[in-house]
Amino acid sequence: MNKQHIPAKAQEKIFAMILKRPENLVCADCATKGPRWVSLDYGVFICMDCAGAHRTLGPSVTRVRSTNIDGWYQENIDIMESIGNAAANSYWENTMPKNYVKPTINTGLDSLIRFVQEKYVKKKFIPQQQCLDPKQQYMLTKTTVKPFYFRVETKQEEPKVKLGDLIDFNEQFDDFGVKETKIEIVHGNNTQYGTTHSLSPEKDQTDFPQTKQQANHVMHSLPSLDILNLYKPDQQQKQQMQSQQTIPQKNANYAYLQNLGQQQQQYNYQQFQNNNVYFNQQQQQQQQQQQQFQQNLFQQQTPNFIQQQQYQQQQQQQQYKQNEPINIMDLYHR
Amino acid sequence: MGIPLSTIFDSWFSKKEMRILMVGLDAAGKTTILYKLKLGEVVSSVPTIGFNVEKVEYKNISFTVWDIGGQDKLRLLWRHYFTGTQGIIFVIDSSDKERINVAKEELMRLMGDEELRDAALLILANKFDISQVTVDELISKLELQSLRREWFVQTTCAITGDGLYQGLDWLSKQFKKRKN
Repeated sequence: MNKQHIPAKAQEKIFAMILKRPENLVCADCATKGPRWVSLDYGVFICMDCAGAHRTLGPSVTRVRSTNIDGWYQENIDIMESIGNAAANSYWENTMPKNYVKPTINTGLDSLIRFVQEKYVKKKFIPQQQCLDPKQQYMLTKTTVKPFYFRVETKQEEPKVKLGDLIDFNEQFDDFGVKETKIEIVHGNNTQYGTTHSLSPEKDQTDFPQTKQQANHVMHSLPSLDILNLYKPDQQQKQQMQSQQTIPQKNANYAYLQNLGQQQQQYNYQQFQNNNVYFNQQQQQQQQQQQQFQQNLFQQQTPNFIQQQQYQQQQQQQQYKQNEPINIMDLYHR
Repeated sequence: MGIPLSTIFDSWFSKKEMRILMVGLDAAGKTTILYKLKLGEVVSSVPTIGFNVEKVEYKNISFTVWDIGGQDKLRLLWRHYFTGTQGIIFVIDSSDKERINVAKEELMRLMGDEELRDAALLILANKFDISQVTVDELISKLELQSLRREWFVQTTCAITGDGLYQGLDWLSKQFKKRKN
């Protein structure tokens, strides 16, 4: 019982930093802005009304705490720091239908209570494969929990201008005849690039040597561990993600566009496949193809293009900085 | 002749007021108890920041019940409500085994306060229907034997309302005893 709460000022600063992350800006259950409460055993940030709903579950199921009017132990802050709304919702709302209407504050406290019961107690929306929930995974690894399965949504737009049509160069170049494949990653895009700033980076390799994949590896009861292995932040994956975001250049000429148009169809298709392939074993082969392909592309790119990429890299680095694990001793000194 | 008659009349029919402070750890069920007493129904509540106050009339006594939020940092504010308090209802969540020690510490801090020296202490062991402890265990864990004052432990269930009025019964008896 001699555990000490961390100092109030440090607590304030830590939560200010954690709550600044994009996934934690809204309540995990009802999407109200500025959540200030916490459901400790699910690792989610919630609003006050949802805190009321979570409290009805009982202290043996989940403990509800406030980020500002409760005292905090270090271990509990670690839980919140390494789970958060993105990872938690990627599990608890994994199979939620797209047309499902979540309750809001305006629909009343009773609807929130019903929703919380369905989501956490009846576990209606958890993944179909058996795996550990975020809290269990945290207790096992004691590192940052990554989002579980990415839902990749593809939108294919109809070509507005067909190839061979006369093109008015005053129009925007987005309208040339390429099927655009936009890939949206639900739940926090910055976590996908491999911002695996775990509290102890060596742990992934030393604690789980047995998770190295065998030839005929089947997804079974512990896929989350496989994910840990797969999402290691290697440079190749970063590069892939960056090239996904690139936009065709305005200054390029028509012939180039025509050329690229054909290529990009294939290219996007490969990207799409590659995204789905995270859990497959032939990833390496595809990566090699990908790299060759990127090299081809890169030769055609203008200097402007490279500048843009550098800018994106800088932006991403800034994102990493925000998501770094928080060293509490630093905060004491500040 | 007039004066004694009127005093008897007063003692039977006029309402006496009792100021009650209801405290306890967060999520113990204080607000639910308050509105169960006041309205007779279960309201779904959000965490109390600040306080709720209601007048509950029972057995010719009007209880003014102050329900104060129980989060860590709100507990420091409890002492501002102590003045003039005749009874304390300390609500514990009997199903929360982990924090029974925290509850004990808070209770001991309350009892050490000079202003509450004469207040009656009622302990409501709430959520008793879903807990697996006995009253004796609770008493020993809360170290109530060490208190040099009268106390009473009542098991309750705020949702059904079991035990709430037995608690008020004991408080009103204490109130009458102290008047005499």
